[in-house]
Amino acid sequence: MRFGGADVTRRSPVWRARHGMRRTFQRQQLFGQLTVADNLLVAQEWRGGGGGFAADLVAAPTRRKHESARRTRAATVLRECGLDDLAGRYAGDLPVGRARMVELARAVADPPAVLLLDEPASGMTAAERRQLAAIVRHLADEEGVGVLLVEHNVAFVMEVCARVVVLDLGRVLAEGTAAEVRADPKVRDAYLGTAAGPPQRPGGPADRGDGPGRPESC
Amino acid sequence: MSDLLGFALSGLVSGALYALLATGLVLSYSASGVFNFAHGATAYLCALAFYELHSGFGWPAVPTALLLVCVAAPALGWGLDRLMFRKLARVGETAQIVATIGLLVALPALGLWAVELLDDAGAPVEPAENQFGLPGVGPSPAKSWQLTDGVGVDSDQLITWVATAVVAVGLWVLMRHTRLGLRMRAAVDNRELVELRGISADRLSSVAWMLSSALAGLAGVLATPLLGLSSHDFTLFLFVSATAAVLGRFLSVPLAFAGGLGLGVLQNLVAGYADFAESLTGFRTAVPFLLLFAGLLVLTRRQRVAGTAAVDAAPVDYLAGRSWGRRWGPWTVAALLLATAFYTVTTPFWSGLLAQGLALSLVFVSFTVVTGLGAMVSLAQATFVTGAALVAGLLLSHGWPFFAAALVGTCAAAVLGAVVALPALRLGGRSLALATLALAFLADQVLFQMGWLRNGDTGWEIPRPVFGPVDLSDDRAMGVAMVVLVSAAVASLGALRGSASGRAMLAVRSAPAAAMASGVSVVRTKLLLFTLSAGLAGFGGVMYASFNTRITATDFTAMTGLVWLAVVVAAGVRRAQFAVVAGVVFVVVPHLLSEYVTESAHVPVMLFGLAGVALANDPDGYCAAVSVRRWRRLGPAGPSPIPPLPETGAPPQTPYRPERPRPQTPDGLKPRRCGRGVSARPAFEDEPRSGDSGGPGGGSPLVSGRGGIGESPAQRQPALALHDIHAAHHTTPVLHGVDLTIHPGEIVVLLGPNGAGKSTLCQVAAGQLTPTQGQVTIAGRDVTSQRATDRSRAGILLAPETRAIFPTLTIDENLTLHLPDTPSREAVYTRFPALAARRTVPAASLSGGEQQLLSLAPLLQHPPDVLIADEPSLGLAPRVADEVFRLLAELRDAGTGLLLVEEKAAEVLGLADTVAYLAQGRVAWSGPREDVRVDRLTEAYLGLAAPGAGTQPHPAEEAHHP
Repeated sequence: MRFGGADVTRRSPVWRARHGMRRTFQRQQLFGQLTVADNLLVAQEWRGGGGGFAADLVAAPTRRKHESARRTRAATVLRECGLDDLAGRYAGDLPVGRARMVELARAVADPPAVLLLDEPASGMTAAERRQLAAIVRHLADEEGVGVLLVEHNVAFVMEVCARVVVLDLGRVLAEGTAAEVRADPKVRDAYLGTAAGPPQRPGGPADRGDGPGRPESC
Repeated sequence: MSDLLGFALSGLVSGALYALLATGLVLSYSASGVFNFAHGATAYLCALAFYELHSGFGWPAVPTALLLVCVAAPALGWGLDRLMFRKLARVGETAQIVATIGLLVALPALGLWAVELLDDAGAPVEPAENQFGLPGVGPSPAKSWQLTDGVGVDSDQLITWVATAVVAVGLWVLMRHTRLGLRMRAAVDNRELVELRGISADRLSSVAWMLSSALAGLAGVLATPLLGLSSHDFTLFLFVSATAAVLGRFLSVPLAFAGGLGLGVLQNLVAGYADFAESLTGFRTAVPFLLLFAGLLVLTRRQRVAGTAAVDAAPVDYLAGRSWGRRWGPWTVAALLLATAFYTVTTPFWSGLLAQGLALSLVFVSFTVVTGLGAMVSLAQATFVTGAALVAGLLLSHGWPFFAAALVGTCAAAVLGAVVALPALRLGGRSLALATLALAFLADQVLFQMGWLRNGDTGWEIPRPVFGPVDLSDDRAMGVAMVVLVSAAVASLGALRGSASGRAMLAVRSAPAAAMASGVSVVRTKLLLFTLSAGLAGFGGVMYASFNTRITATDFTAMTGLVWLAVVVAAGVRRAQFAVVAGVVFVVVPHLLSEYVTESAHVPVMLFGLAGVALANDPDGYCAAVSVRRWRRLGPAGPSPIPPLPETGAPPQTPYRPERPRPQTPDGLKPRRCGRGVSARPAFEDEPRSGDSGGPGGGSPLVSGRGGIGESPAQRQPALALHDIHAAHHTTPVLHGVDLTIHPGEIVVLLGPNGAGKSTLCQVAAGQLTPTQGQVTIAGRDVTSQRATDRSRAGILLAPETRAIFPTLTIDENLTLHLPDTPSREAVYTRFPALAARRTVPAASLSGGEQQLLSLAPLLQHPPDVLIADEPSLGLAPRVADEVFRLLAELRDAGTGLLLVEEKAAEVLGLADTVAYLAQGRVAWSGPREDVRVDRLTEAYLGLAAPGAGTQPHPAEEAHHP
């Protein structure tokens, strides 16, 4: 696995995060004991500065300059994600759609090179999903972030993604633009579990033989 | 040679007791998920009761022992399960650990207090002193026999062996040859499935607690001659047996039993033969703790954390948004008042008492760091206290100035903390607590036994410091100094909490995986937490020792640390101020009690323990509970709700395709006609259709749907109906108004992509998940509030997505759980010869398909009203899947209504009467199988129309116009 030209196969998650690879989780992993704004601060604070742990113990003023710069950045990201009214809320009691958005905001608070989104739209309302799509497009188009999006909601994928890769049981089944993938009979078969193409007559027998194109589920 | 035999024989005595205790631990843990730190306290209580009743009241030994072991101990276990353990199973692991530790503190004190009360009332009780050679169940003094030269056994040992053997055989018979035992083993294997089979897991857990308690009682009675009556020794004994439980991974009774026996023998052999250990005092007794620590490191499996949503909600912040003055003002005023009081109000006695409480508060604040900020339980805090104070004392004796000595002592404690933490950090919760305890015992028995460090029994003198004109040997000056130091510590922790490092600590606590993904080093953060906490404890230790002007190695043992933990956590670990309250309370309350209530030293200990026990009700501690309750009564009801984003335009199913708006189906499933039995079922054409009469008017149209449209009066009630079901996992809404009905003898196939909510729907139908809205009816009866056990008894069976078998039970035992009578089982074997050939094999060794057959086969004997099968063909070879489907068809023909949930469509379509399609928590459409067209599926799965589908009527439109 290469990242920015270097082999990162054995690098730890922390190393990858610090080198610009950020992610969200399929099941939300927010820091529930912190406010939304503080969640975004944590994502930037590995950079340190101002004296570290000892300075924190005595509330040293050297830390303030760094913190206020990071707070400004957090506020900007929250505004872009439409979360500014939630900045002071504890992340532990947000509805799921907002929690996912906070996760996304946290992942981009320290500007990433690559963003991995694991089912970011699940549990979101339609309006939230629209907002998410706009943000993801903005990140990819305007800010030059490479986004890898894992998603079940095909309509959302078709809307947002430039390139689609279909996996079936650990293998790449199809790859291409949304239109190419949607026209690919292999994809259709894998999703429907049909064997030799579609049943011949409506409501007719579903063939259970091992025809070509059958996904490797057996 | 005779040495070896002698060591082994006497090792078998303690080994037998370890085995009894470990078995009880495993039984209760596997049945309820609560690790009972107080198990040894139960044993102690029974030993004490036996001693008083037998030696004091003069009751005959054997009946007394039987009464205690067979009646009193199980009653105690039952009561504790009802009052405490059941509640504990629902609170966080920290509260579980602390509450059972509280019980460990409270139970012996309760017993000793009762003895005192009886003594005062003139009952003929004996003083419960720790002495060897107390009478056991057998003759007293014990008879002994010489086997060979130098090897002897006595009657107490013989009785222990016999009783343990009887228990082992009895447990074996109970677990292997009774219905109850079978169910208990099944519940350990898969508690959820047991409930799905209509067996109450709560009742099984009650039985397990009673058995566990009885075993502890037996161990206690048998151990009296060996251990005497020291609750400390009993608890030590328990933690040794915890090693055996760890060997059995807290799950396997036989392994734990064997581990206990082996441990006893090993311990004795090491004691007898490890000559190299001569130089290390205490090494022999420390062996089990080395094993415990190693066992925890090797055998504890890392939990997968990223698979579950992090739901670490913040505490209710009743001062959110208030000013600095409102937050800190009262505490500042209290500190100032206290400082002034030392020189104005308090008597010398009270000055000393308060100064002592404040010095202890410094130690207690260290719990706020590790448990409050880090959500980890450290049972080694007393070790850091002793370590730091001993080092400081050693340096002071070499003429170092107080400041330097205290600093080095603090650093030594911090280093010790790092050493403890490094190996233990990958453990969490209960395992971390046990590991720190093992290290604490090791330190007590090896490190603090070293002569150069402990300076014999006199310990080191730590004179109070003198800074120029300020002489702290005056209690009042000491008190003011303590107020200053404690305030500084509390303020510093407050600053830490609001700083970058504090945020990182709270982040690691809530969601370690996400913290790593945000660039926070989890190991470094946890190490920092532990080191800071240890250093703080160490500094507090030096100050506390200097208040006492002396430290000895036995002032603060690991057991002291357990009491401290119960006291601090009971007060609350969310804020450092609460720890200060706890410190003052810990010192002042015993004095107040002895002054005004009772002289007994046991009552305060009991109260402190019970405060820990109360965590089952208030996991945040009493300080927080008081203020939060007042805040709830006076203040506004929580933060304002979060408004949803405004909806604009497109329907929820297809937010990104507004150019092709789709008629919505507000109710999801529409009342529809659906043909049944008229279509061909190609895969099963050769199957007999005998059961068709089981459905109403076999072959005639059957109305499926909740409405009354087209329903004939002769129509039977649906066997299972879900109406407008909304459900959520934790806080994630999954289902948004699902309607679904299953009639007797009908197969409904529910299709939908991964993540659509299919499994959630199954859980709601089976009663494992209570819907947030909506109604579930069985044959017209509302069962929405019924749990899985009752629904299963009402005839609704769920075959969950994971195979519905008990993997460690044999095939025959799996069947017996369903079919207690032999003829039914034989009928199953006749039908499935593959199962018959391997009936004594554990079900885990079957292939996936055979496992699925095993879970479904017994249903043919007594067909349930409704079977919900979640992905029955998942991962099966086509031939086996066919057999499974044939079995399901047979069930349908026998009148069972089936709900088959599948992700892939083709395989089950041949079987379906009705097909419903679930997308994003709603039934997108449903209809008879005949109406299913591939383009419709494509549309649903891929969110797009199939090529040429434009000519087809839209399914949703069609739903309106069948």
